[in-house]
Amino acid sequence: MDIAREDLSLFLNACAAATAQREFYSSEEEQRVSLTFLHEYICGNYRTLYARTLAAGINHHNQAEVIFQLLSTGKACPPDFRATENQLITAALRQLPSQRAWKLLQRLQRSRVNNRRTRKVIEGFIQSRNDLPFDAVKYRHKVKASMQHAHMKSTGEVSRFLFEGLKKPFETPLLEQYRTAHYSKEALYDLPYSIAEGFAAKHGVSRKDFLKRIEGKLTERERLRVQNSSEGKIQLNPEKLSLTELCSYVLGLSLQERRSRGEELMSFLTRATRATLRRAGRLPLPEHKVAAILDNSYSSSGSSMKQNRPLAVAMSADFLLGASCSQYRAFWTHPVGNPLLNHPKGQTYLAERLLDALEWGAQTVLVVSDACENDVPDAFEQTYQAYRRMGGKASIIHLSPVFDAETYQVKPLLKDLPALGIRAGEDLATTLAFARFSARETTLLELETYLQSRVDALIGQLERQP
Amino acid sequence: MSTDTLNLTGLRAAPSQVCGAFRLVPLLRETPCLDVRMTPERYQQAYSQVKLDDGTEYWAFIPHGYILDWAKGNEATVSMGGQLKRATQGKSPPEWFTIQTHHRMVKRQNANRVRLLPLHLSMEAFLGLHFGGPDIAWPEYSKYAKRYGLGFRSETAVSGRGLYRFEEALRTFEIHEGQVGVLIYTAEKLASVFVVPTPQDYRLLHQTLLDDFYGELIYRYAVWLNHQELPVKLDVKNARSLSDLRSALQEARTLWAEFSTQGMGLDLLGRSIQREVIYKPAQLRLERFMTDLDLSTTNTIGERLVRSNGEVLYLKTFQLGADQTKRAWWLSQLAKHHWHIDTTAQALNLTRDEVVRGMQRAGFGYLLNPELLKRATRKR
Repeated sequence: MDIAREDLSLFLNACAAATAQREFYSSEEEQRVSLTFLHEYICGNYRTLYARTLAAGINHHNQAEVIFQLLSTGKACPPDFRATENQLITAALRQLPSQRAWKLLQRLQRSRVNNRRTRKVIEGFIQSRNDLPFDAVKYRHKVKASMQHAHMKSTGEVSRFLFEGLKKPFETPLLEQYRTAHYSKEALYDLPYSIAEGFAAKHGVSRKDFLKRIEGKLTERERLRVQNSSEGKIQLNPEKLSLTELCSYVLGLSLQERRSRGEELMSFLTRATRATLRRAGRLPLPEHKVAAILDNSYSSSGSSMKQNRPLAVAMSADFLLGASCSQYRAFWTHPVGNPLLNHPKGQTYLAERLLDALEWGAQTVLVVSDACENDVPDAFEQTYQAYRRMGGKASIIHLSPVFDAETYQVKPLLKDLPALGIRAGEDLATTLAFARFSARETTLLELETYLQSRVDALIGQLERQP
Repeated sequence: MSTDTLNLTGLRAAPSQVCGAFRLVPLLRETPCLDVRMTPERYQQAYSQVKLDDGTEYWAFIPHGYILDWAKGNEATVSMGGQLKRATQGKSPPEWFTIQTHHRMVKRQNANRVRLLPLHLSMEAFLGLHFGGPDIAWPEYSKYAKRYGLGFRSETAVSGRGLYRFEEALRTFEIHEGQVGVLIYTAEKLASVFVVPTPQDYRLLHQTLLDDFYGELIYRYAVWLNHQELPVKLDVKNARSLSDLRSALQEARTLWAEFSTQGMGLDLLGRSIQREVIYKPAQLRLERFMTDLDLSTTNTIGERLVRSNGEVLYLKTFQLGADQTKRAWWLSQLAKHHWHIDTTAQALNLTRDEVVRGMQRAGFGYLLNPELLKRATRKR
């Protein structure tokens, strides 16, 4: 059964990092094919465990992929597990961010996955939405596709809005706003930002005026996105933002701007760090010297699809560890004076940093790197083995933000220590909690128990909701 | 022409990075270069014509040239971005076939600046090798050869964009701090060397390696072969402390770099070369070279800029294919014996007919008297 444990922990790690987007070392196609294979393999061989991974803290992209796989291979589900699987799918679908959930439903339609269970799941999801008119306006085509796909009876105004067009007035205010926005400039400011943007262009409203008046309607991520086009005039609330996304934003600014807005950016980052720690609780790290080896080599610049993402993950981990550990020190592969001025450059240079960290006296060393070591290749492994032979006790944890398409896993730095996948610094606590299941010593049973506890928590949440 | 050896004086290697068949070894400069700069200049035309001083013309696809700036003896530095440039003109869409005319391979622009066309400078010398043809009107040669010499010479090469996975290798290559050059290995064989004066220049020029041209052998190796796994062993068996580990690591790094330049680059580095000085800016020498034409191994042409103390400031090489080497070899053999076919045959321990057939195979049949050719290639 050891193979099962290994497969599963490999899969969970991959699903924490992979997003089927282009990476520095592999193309989008390679990533997608590799990840899809992994899903099909695990779904085919360990279906019950596969369904449970929905609760295990894998990223949203993979949650959607798991739901899709489960729904499209419904026949393979053992009868006694069917009820749990349904509960899991329902709960996970409701927890997904709305854009991802709607996209998944549309994908089900396009891939012609249409069985009684799928229809029921879609219907249940649509009925559980708090503000369906809002969804109908913002995700019009997707909602329409899902309703059609689930054979839902067309009743009510939302159906009329989706299927009959905009000729007659609506009673629901938002739908009516959407109708009038076609003719009136004033009406567009009550619509969601992304929809209003199109109408603003249609009516020729200047960007400046538009942003000024729509400000109240912006979500936090939209606020971050329009920071540059509004020249920083839109207010940000860093507490509500993802720390990694904020780091990505900082890394996207020019060095000069980072220098001139240094204090402001730093306060954003520290506030976001504090908020993240408040939400996720303390990091499960012992009270001793903790060092982090953080990779800011050129490969941490990611790809055009995820610009600077690996570096942003390392940077957010740096902030979280700094705020959470009493004795902490960061060792960047290319040392940086001011954390704000970090940028991806140079070769991957990990072994020397490991020695630096150990010399400082670190008892826990966290490595955040894509593990493509090239100065010198394999030196980290050899240094680590020699250190162990010398009787060194420090524990080493390797976190990697990159899924390696070629080997179907998150590439490990050390042969006997699997790497932990991580997509965002905020997941650090969950990832570290999962760390012990990745290690070779644990059994499948322990892993199953862990998964079951997460499943119970997720389903419990579903039951608490109406 | 004078002889010298090809070396990397003033440079040291760092651990290599691999991708597909390519192994790229970064080169770092031991003492920073402050007085010479090299910047790229893009050309957008489909074809280029270079008018040379002796009335011959060189035609090629030339995507870019280099601008070489240097300080005069007493000035300390040439600063980054300190050069005045003409404002870029508004881009008009290029016509379907455009030709740009350059004057000379190396063209002086002002007192401290020349424009040079990389690799074409050496390729021109290669094509122009013994271009005048036979200097004595031996009856064995055709009228054409007597009248026009070699007349029209052409060679083909592969663009960097045509090399399988080369673009990816360059994209994923992590440029070292202070890197000024790169050794390009294909299937563990040193294929090309590229060195520029300063790290800033290198960052600008790294991607232009894709636009340069490469020998056909590199193309074949890139398609068919992969790089070897060359594990680096750290000498940590007797390590007792962290500082031991650190010194082992340092040692491995140096050994690895030495191996990649001295062990693996023997085909090219240390070979004796025939060189010709093209330009002498200040205390520097811009020269083009060709390795001794050894038919048993690959041969290289190239150009370099060196200081009087031997430090290499600029170096770019092109690996000749076997057929290209053969052509140059026949020409040089003939030239050595005043283009007399019988003497050449005697020196090479061949028969007259064998020499004629060899020349025809190399593509020089048009130089020979048709009667002679007919007799030599007649079925035996």
